Amino acid sequence: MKFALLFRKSTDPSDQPSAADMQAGYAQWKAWMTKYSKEILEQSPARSGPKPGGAVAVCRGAAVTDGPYVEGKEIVGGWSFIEAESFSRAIEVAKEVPMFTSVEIIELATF
Amino acid sequence: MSAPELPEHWFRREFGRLVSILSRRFGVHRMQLCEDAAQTALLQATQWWPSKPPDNPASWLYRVAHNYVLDELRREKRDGRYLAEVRVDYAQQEVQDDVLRLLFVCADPAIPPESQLVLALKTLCGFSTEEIALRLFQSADAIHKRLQRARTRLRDDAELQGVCPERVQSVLHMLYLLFNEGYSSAQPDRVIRRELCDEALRLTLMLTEDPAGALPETDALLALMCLHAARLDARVDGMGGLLLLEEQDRSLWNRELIQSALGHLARSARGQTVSRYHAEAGIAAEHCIAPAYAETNWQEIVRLYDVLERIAPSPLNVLNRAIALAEWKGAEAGLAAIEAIDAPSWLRGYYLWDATLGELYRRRGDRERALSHTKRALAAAPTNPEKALLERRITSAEALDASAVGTRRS
Repeated sequence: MKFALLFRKSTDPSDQPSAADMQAGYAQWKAWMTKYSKEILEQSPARSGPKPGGAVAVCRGAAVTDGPYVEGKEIVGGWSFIEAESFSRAIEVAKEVPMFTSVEIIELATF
Repeated sequence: MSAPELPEHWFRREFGRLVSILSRRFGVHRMQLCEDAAQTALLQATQWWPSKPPDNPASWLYRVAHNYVLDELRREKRDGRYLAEVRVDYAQQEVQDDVLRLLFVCADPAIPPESQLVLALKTLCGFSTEEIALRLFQSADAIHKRLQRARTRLRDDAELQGVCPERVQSVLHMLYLLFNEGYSSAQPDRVIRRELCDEALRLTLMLTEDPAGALPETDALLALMCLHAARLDARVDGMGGLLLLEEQDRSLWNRELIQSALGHLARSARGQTVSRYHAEAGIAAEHCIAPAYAETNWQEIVRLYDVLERIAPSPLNVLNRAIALAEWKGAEAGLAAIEAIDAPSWLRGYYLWDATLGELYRRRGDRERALSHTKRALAAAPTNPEKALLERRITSAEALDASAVGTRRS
């Protein structure tokens, strides 16, 4: 199964990471990418899009909800594509994305 | 290719460089936009570099930040003249000049010194508003207001110059304040304090390498910073308690830093100028080169305090001079010197005033006065390590023979 992960963050200017936060974040990203190197795809899957009726979830810290419930003050700050054997594995990967306030998981279909 | 390993504080340094070089291209009045661009570029780097490391990280960052500014300006349309693609080499030399230049921009005489400091911490050191508030013991709100006012001032004044000799003194003062915040503030977190000292050292070192900034005073200030930084770790015991100079393990002092400080101090002796930094660095150097506390050249230190008092008069210097005098000629001479001070009420209420009197009376064997002064100092001491130190002194004063009160000066 392939998934798109959409990373969201706050738009509040006073809520942006400092240089020190970013330095720590860089190390966390490296760790995340190393840990899930099997799942993370180098490129977006060709001819793909959201699977009609497919699985969708939003991770916010430890909390996982089943809908794309997004805070009004959040914007997409990045994305990744992953391949995982199951939806629950995809959630595990998404839960550990560093530096972002929420991660939306969208199941993909190839056309 | 694997993601590059980045040195400590790398993001902070790159942030300062990016803001500096961008604000030169696009104007200081666009500082806020340049900061946003630097922020965005670094944030992108945290995400993309682990999987796609660039060949040249610095130029990658510059390209992303530069494009961000162009996009924003395009959106504003009216700034069409900036749209021509500017090709720049991200050469080290140029960047360093830009960082310095921005330091001088921050030293605008129309901006109060404390706000200059806040501006420099934000734009050159990449500290967030909250981080600055934490480091300077002010509310984030107050820091925010200072920043806004300073930025407005920069935006409104198109006449701003870059590295100009008239501002070197303000730049030095700003760096001196920055270092002092790290060195002698009441902030208990040593890591935070160390960082401030490191930033001040880094920027001052840069200034000594610039033709416009390399005055004798700059070398003196750098020497002063190195001499204090060399002793930073030895100032606390294993439990975080403060140690007196005489209690410190001198083998923990950083010899390398002291050596390089003495080099800068020697270089600072060129020309006719004797600044407060010269005098203060001279005093610190005397402490650092003394093999033991008892072998300190107190006579020379007293002389340097006299020099300092002439350049930058302060009752605090006179108090410190009295302490050195007591070491040189005995407690009696020290007490006499303190009595001669026309001390303002803030100094009399300052805990070091009573702490010094208490200690000198203790040495003279005057138990009662030693206790009463040290207790007053304890009540006014600002931090826990200082309180602990004063409590130790009270214990030792209490151990004095009560009958020795008779030795009170007639």
